[in-house]
Amino acid sequence: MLRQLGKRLIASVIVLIAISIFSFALVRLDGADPARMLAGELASDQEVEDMRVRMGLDKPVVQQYLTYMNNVLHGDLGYSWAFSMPVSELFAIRIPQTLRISVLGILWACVFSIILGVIAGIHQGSGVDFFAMFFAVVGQSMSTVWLGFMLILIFAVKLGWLPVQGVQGARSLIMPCLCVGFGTAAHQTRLMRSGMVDVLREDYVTATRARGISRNKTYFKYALKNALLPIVTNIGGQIGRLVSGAVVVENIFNLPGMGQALITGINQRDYQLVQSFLLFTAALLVVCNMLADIVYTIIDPRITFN
Amino acid sequence: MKLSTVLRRMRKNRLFMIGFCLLLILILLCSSAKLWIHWNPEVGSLRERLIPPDYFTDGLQGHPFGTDALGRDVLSRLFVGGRISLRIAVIVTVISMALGALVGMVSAFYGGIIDMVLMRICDILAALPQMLMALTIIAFLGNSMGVLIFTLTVSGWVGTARLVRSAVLAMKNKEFISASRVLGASDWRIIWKELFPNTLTQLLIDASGHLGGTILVETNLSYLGLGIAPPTPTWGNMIADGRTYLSSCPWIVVFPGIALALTVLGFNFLGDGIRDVFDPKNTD
Amino acid sequence: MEYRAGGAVAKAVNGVNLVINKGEALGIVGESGAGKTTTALSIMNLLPDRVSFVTDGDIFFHGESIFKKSDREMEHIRGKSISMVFANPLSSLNPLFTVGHQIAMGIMKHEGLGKREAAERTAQLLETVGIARYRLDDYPHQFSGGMRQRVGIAAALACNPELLLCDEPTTALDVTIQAQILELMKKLQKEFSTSLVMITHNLGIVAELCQQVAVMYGGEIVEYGTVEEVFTNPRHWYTYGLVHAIPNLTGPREELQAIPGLVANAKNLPQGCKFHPRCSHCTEKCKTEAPAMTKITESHQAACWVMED
Repeated sequence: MLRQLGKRLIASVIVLIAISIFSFALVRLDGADPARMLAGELASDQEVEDMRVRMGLDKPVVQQYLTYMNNVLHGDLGYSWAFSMPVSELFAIRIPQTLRISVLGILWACVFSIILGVIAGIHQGSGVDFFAMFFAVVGQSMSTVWLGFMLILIFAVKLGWLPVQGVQGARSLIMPCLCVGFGTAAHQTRLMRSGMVDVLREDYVTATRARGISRNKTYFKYALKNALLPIVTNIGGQIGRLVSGAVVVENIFNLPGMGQALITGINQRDYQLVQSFLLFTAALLVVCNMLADIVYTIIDPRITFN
Repeated sequence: MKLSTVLRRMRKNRLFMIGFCLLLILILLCSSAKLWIHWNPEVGSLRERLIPPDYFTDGLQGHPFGTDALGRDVLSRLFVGGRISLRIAVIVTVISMALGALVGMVSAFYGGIIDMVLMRICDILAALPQMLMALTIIAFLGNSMGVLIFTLTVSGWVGTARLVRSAVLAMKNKEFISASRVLGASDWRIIWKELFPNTLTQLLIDASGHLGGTILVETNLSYLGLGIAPPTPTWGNMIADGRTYLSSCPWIVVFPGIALALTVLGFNFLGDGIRDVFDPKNTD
Repeated sequence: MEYRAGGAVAKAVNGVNLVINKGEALGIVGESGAGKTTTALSIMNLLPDRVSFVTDGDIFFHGESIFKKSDREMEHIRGKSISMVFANPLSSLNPLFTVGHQIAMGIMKHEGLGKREAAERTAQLLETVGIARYRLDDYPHQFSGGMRQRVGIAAALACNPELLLCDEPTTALDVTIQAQILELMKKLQKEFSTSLVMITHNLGIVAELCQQVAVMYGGEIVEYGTVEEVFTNPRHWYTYGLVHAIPNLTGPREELQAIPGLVANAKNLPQGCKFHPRCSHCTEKCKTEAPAMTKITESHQAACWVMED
């Protein structure tokens, strides 16, 4: 187990180095001159040159990369020119907002999809089952952007129940959370339902009942654990979906989170912000996938960590 | 499986038929759009801005689904845009499937160092969510059709490659592969004649999901201003354009969104249908 | 008993009348699909919801109807008074829970024991079926098929049941392991003095373990009696076929007689005697009228129009 974990760690480090090179190279591929953009249209050549030196862009590219990586390893993610503050400081301000909608989003998605999926799986062919399938299919077919607009149109514009956008207390979080978690909820409802249907056909469920365990305990203590396996395997992919979703949703609802910072950074050619954002996301996904694997080995004794 | 069996099961499978008909209608309408639309989808008349839908009371002469902020006919843009959205999805999917199937099969078939290198490349490409990857590449390389297709393909084939790889690994040591090897078949022949046909069902299911997914990602990118550059209509661009007029003129957003949802729904149904039709446990 | 799915009705088990006395062992014999498992699951009242329906008849346990009992009452019977060993030991243990837990859950439910006492009882049970006690916390995948079936048996015996239903407990196992498991069951049945219902398609197992035997075909009992009488003097042509389809290892070689045709399909049962399409002695009467069970001796009955004398 420890050796496997070590191997995985090394593989992850390689992935992260590759991503850092990729994002470092990518932001430098376009023709725009960030020094000129930052110095302004009216700046003289000398001023632009000074700006370039201040930004560290006068050095050879390889040296720039090494300096950047050295700084990253020391916890310095660079300086955001667009926001005029260190990137790590910007992240520290922005992450709570993004975390709030992401965590709440995935939370409702998981709770909702597990309950709905389990009930649908147990009562196959019932009204609940029909609703679950409908929700799963339609939910997976909707674009996040469109869903966001429709929520605004219905709940904010027509009914006036919720604020259109911005940060005004808990109520302003409802629509963004719904929006962020919707795709995940739909996807997992489907997984959970089919998982439950498959598990309930297994002999070991009948065997459990045959030992006198009640219907509810059999379903919700024993079968549920078996049916949860596909969801746990899938959680890594869902985190990726969540990050993309947060970028879009923050822009729709005008929430000052990481996603909005990324779009601002991209539009202003803020190299270090974009670079660090990509690296940060990749690291997050690597960690989440590894956690999912560990959880999986805990739940399923047949799987050894690899 | 015999072709007649496949066709009969397809006809009997409700999901498959709904998806198939939905897509057939959409594709026919979109591809023939240039023949029957009355308005220029890219240039509008400023005097006809934000006209509410008349729902075909004037036939095609009017604006059945209204006009947008620049006076362009929503219906015309919807079907011309659909053609572009679908074309992007199809091209991206075909390239991703081909590349993914090739990499997956080679990786599983040869194993060893080739497998390791290819899979590490997959790990790297999958380390970022597809949309984020596409977002940054487009931002720094410019938003042309070519770049969009390229970026969506770059990370799009990874999932397919992994899928095909595990499918091939599972059957690599089955008797029928050993049998062809004993009979002296070359590597490529085994890959092409034995392994590929046996992954085809999974590829088709994956492809239908991929088509829908690509259309959805395109919408998100367009909304962030990083899709196909306007005034070219795509469903994503149309939805993004309607943002400002959401409360007063919702039709600009509603119709492309419905078209988009129906299309993705069609692809999802088609995928589910294919899964049922080719399910080895299916005994009619 | 019917299964209904998508408009199709499968008459799985019809007109089965069986009596099991205390301490006795009854064998139920028949080809796969004859309705043996369905009979066993009906006794447990564990037929799948919504697709299976008991249309007629009843099952009595200690003189009380099982179908009239509430879910709660049934829970106290299952695993305590009546328990079951399943056909496939690979699929009848939950892969995500330790074998100890799966044996102990019945004990904890019925005997009201705490975790520690239940674990001690479980360890003793494991030793009774020939598994070392330290394997309590192992998972099913760490056991071989035969060992898993021992776990299944231990779980079934956990609360000293009065009636043990064994649904083909050895079919999924190797021949040598089969013998071990049968020995074990024989020993345990004596030790625990439980009544036993042994469902199998293997006549040898019935001959070895049981006193009574019921032969099932197409969801019906076609012959019923003591093992000795039924096997030495089969009166239904299906039983006759079964008995003569077994090779004799000792003595002169006889010609084996296979029963032609396929098992009756429960969705489309034939008129008259269910066995007539495959019967070599079929008459016109057999095609239209179903034969009733007739007594041959006090302890032997069969349902056939053209019984051999």
